[in-house]
Amino acid sequence: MTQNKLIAFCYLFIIGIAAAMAFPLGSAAIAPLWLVTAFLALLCIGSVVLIRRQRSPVENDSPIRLDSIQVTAWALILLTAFVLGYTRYLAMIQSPDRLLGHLRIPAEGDTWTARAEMSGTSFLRIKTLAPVQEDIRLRLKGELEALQPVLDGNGLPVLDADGRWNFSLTAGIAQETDEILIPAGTRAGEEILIQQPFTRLNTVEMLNQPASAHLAVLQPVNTVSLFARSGRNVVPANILGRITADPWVYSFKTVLAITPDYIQYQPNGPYFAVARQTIRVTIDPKMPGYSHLARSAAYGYDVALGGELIMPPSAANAGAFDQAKYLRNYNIGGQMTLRSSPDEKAPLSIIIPQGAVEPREGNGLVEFSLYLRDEIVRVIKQTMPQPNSAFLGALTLGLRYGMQNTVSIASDSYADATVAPLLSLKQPTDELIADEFRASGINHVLAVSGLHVTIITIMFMGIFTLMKISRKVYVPFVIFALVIFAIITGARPSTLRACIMNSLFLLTWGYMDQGLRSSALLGVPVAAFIILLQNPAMTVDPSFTLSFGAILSLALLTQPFFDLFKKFRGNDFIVLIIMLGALTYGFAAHWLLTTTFRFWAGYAVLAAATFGLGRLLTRSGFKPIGNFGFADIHPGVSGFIAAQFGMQIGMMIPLSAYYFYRWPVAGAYANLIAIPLVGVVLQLSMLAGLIGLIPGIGMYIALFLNAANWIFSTAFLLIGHYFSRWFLYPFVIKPTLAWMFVYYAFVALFIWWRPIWFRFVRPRWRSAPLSRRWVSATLLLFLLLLVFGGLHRQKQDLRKSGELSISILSIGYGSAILVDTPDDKAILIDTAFVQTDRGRRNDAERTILPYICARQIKSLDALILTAPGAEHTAGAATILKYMDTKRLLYPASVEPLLQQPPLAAILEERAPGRFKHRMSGTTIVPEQLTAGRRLFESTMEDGQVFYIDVLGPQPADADAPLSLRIVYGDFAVFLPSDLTFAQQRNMLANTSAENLKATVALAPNHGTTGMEDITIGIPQDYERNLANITGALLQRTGAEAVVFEFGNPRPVVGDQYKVAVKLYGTAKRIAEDILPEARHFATDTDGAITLTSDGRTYVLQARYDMAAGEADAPTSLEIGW
Amino acid sequence: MEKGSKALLQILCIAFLLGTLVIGFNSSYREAFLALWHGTPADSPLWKSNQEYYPDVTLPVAPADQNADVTAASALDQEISHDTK
Repeated sequence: MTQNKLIAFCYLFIIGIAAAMAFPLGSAAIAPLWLVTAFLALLCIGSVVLIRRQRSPVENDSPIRLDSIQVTAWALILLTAFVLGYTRYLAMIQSPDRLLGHLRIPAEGDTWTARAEMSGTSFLRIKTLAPVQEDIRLRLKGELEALQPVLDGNGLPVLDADGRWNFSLTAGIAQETDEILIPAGTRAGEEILIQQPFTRLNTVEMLNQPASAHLAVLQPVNTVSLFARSGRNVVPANILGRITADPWVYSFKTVLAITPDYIQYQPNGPYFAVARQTIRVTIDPKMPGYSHLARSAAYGYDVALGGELIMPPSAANAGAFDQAKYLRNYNIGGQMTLRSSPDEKAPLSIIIPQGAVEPREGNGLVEFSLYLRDEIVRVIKQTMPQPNSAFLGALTLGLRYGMQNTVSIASDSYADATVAPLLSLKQPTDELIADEFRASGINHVLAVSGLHVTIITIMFMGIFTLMKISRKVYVPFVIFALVIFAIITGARPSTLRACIMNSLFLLTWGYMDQGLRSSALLGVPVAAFIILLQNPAMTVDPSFTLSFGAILSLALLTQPFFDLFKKFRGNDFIVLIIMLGALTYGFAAHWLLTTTFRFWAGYAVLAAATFGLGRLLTRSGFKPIGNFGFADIHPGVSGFIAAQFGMQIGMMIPLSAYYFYRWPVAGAYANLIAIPLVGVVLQLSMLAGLIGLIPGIGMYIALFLNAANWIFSTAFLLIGHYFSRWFLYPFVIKPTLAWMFVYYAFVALFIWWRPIWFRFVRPRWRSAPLSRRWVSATLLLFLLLLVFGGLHRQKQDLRKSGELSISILSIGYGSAILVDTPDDKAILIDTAFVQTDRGRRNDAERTILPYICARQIKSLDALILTAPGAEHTAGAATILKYMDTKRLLYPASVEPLLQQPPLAAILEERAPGRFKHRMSGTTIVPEQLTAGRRLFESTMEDGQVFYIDVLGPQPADADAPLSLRIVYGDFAVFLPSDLTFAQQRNMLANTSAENLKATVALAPNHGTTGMEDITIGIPQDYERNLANITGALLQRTGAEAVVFEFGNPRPVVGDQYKVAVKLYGTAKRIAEDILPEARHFATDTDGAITLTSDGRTYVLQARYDMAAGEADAPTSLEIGW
Repeated sequence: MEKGSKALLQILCIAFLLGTLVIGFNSSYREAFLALWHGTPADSPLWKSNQEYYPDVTLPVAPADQNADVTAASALDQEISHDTK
C-alpha cells in the first residue's frame, strides 16, 4: 500500500466513525457488518495481488485494465476503511445482546422458539419486534446458578494464587418473573429490562391471549452501566475487582479506576461476571487503609468493595458539561464514593492471593514507569519549592491532580511559607494557577502532548548525539523512552498521538532518511487511526480533537500565513505591526468593544487609511526601515509567529468556542513567550529528575539544575498570572456544526487557494465561453446564498420569534432563570451561588454563561436580581463582567450589595456617563423596582401581549424580595423569590387573585421558607404554617405545574443543610397535597426545566429524571498541542 | 542535530552557573544544599514546603534508621490486616 493510500485509509476510517455517530444502526447489525468488513478486506488483498501480478513484465499486456483495477482497489480500500470505522464504533457503543428466542403469535407450531442458551448469569431484556396492538401479559421461567464468594477467616473473599476468585455454586434455583405487562401501543424496537437474574431461560409463559405478538428475549452483556443506578436511594453493590490504573492522588481524596470481575447487585443476591467497563471510585482520606491505596503501588491490587454504584449524571443544563458522556468515552460505566470513619469497617479491602504475602502487582512495564515517576517526584520535592514543584510535576510528569488546588504565585498564602517566594507581587490574588493558565491560553502546557514529546525527543537525540552514538543505534532507545514517558503521564490521547507521531518520525528519519514533513503527513492519520481503533469514542473528545487540530493547523496553516505576511515590507510592515498592536490594545483594554460591528468598521477604515498613508510615504521616499519585511526576520522567529497565527485560526478560535464557549485571547500573545520558555523549563526539569536518580552526586546536580529552573519556572508562572490579568477570558457564542463546516471550508480555501485557482479554476475560466462563465458565477452566488441563508435560518430556529422561552436552570440550591421573550429580548433573573472554599464552584461561569452562549444570545437586555441572598446574587459580578447587559433591575433589599465590591466597581466602570462604554454601547443602567411596575411590555403580530409584572415588594417593605409574574397571552409564570411567611401573607392580602393566577409557579424560597428563624429543631406549628400560608399562595395561583429550585444546600446554608432538606421535603409534600392535579418538579432531580409558549399553549420539558454524583468537569487542561 | 546537542549543552552550562548563584544567594536553597550535605534531607526547607504535595512519596529510609524501621514495618503489616478486616 502506498503512502497516499494509507493516509486515505486512515481518514476514511475516521469518516466511518463519524457516520456511525450520526446514523447508528442497531446492535443486530454488528455481526453482519464485521462480515462485510472481512469480505471487503479480502477483496482489497485480492486486488492488490492482482495489481502486482499485472505489473510483472510477463503478464502486463493491458495498461487500461491495470488502471481500472487500480481504481477498483482504491475504491475498495476506502470502502473497507469506511465500513471498518463504522463497525468499530457501533461495536463499542452497542452491546451485542444475545438472542435467546422469539415469541410469535399467531405462529405455526410453538409460540416460543428458543434460539440459544444463556452464557452465564445476567438480566434479561424483552424487545418488541412489531407494534403491540393489545396488552401482552407474560412471565419468564428459568433457573439460576447463584455464585457466592468463598470467604476466609476474616470474612474476605478468597483469591487463588492465579488471581481467580473462589466461588461456591448453588445450582438449579427455580426463577420466574412477576407478570410482565407490555401495554398496547408500544412501538416496535422498544426494550424492557428484566432486573432479575437468570442463568437459564426455559420458557416464556403467556398470561393472556393477544391476537398478535412478536417479541424477542435477549441476554444483555453485563456492563457496569447495567448495574449502576441513579437517584438518592441506591442499593449498595458489592464488587470484586482490580485497580487497573494509576490512582489519582489529590490532597483531599484519591480516585481509583477499578475493573470489576464480579458485581453483586442486590444484598445476598448472586454475583454477576462483568464483561465491560470500569468504575471510578473516590475514597476519602479518613477511610481505614487509605494510605495503602493513595499511592502508585496500589496499581494492580485486587480489591473487594461495597457501596452505592451510581450512574454518572448527564448534563443538568443544556450546554453544560455532560459527565456521563465524558466518562463513557473513557469506558467508565459507573462511579462510587466510599466514606467511613477510622473506627468503622473499611468499605474497600485489599485482597492478597492465597499463599502470597503481598497483593498482586500490575503490568511490569507500567509498574516500572510508575516507580520511575515516583522517584522523579521525590527529586522534584527535594529540589523545588511550592508552588513551582506542583507546576513542574504537572508539566513534566502530567501530575495535574497534584496542582488541582494550587493557588497563584501572587497569593498572600506564600508570604509565610517555608520557602519565601522569589518575588513578592503587588495586588495579591487567590486564583488557582490552573485558572490563570486557562485564562492566559497557556494551559496546554499542562496537558502532556506534542510540545512535550517533541522537546523530550530532541533532548534525548541531543544527549545521544553528544555521546557520538549513531542514530540507527539510539532510535529504538528514544522510542522506548517515549513509551515509558507516555505511561508515566497517563497515556492520554494527546500524549499517545505525539508519541506515535514522534516514533514514526524517528523510524523514517533513522532508517529511511525521510524528512519531518513527509513523516508528519503520514504520522497524523496513522496516529489517529491507532488511537481510534482502540477507542473510537475519542473522535469527539476535546483532548483528541484539539490535539489533532493543533498539529494539522501547524502542518497546513503555517506556510500560508508565512506567505501572506512576507508580502509586507517597508512601510507596509510598520503599518501591519501598528494595526496588530492596536488590535491587541483593543482586546486588552475593552473586549466588549471589540465584539461590536462599529469597532470592526472603524478598524477597517483606520487600517485602509494607515496603509494608504504608508504607501504615500513610500512614494515620497520616506522609508525608515527601508525594504525590511517579515521575510527578513530570522526564519525560526518568523516561522514561529506564522505558526501561532495558524494555531489560532485553525484550532483555538473555532474549537475553543465550540467546546468551551470561550476564547483565550491572551493565548495569542502569551504563547510567544511561553512556548520557548517551556522548552527550557521542561528540559531542565526532566534532566534534573533523571540525573537526581543517580545515587550520590545525582541529587546535588539536580539541586543546581532546579535552582536555576526555579527562576525559569517562576517566570512561566508570572506569564500565566499577568496575561490572565491583562486580558479577559471572554465567553463567545457557541458555533453550530454547520457554522464550523462553513468556517473550515473557508480555512481550506485559504490553505489551498493557489492550486484551486491556478490549476482548476483559472484554466477553465479562461477557456470557457461567456455564457458558461455567467452560469458558473450565478451558481456560485446561489450556493453562497443557500449556505448563508441556511445558517441564518438555523440561527432563527434556535430563538423563534413569537415564542416565549423560560429556562429554570439546575444550579443546586440557588436561582437562575433565563427568559427569552417573544420579541427576542434576553432577560436573566438571578445569578446563582459562588462557592469559594475547596469546591470553588462559580455557577455563573460554569453553567449560566455557557447556557446563554449555547442559546446564541450575545447580550442581555436586563439582569434582574430578586433577593439579596448569595444564592441569587453571588454570580452577578461574573455575569456583568462577561456579558453586555443593558439594565440592572433590583428591589430595595439588594441596594446595599450594589454599594459594595465587586458590583460597585463594575457599575461605576459601566456607568452611563463613561465615554468608553458609551462608545461600545455597553453601559449598565441600574433601576430599583417596587410593586405595580410593568416591564418589557410588547404586543406580537398575532395580538398576544407579553409583559412582566412586579408583584412585590410594596414600597414600604424594604426587606422583601422582588416577586414577578411573567405573562404571555394565556400563559403565566409566578416567580415569588425568597418570600418569608410574613411576606407571603402580605402578598396574599395585597395582590388580587387575578394577578396571582399562573400556569406554572415556582415554590417560594426554594421550598425552605422560614429556615432563617429555625435554631433548635423544627417548630411543631411549622407544617401548619406552611400549609396555611405557602399552600394558600400556591393554591391561589392555580398552577398546573410547581417547580422547586433546589439542590445541595450545604455550600449555601452551611450546618443548617439538614434542616433545609427536611423543610424542602415537607414543602414538596404539602404542595403535592394542595395541588394534587399539578405536576411537581425539582431542579435537582429533574434537571433544568424549560417552558416554551406561543401565548396559547405551552410545553414543559425537564432535562432528565434523576441526577446524582459529583461532577468533575473536563477543563481545557485536557487539551494539548 | 549537532545544533540541538550544542543548545542542550549551552542550556546546561547556563543552568549550572545560574544554579550556583541561586544556591549562593538564596537562603532556602543554601539550607537545602546543606541538608543534603549533612544527610538530613528531611530538614530541607524545599522538602518541608512540599509536605502536602504527593504525601505518599516519602524520603528513602537512611541505613541508620533501618533498625527502627523494622518495628514500623511490622506495625504497618498489622495495620493492613486490621484495615482489610
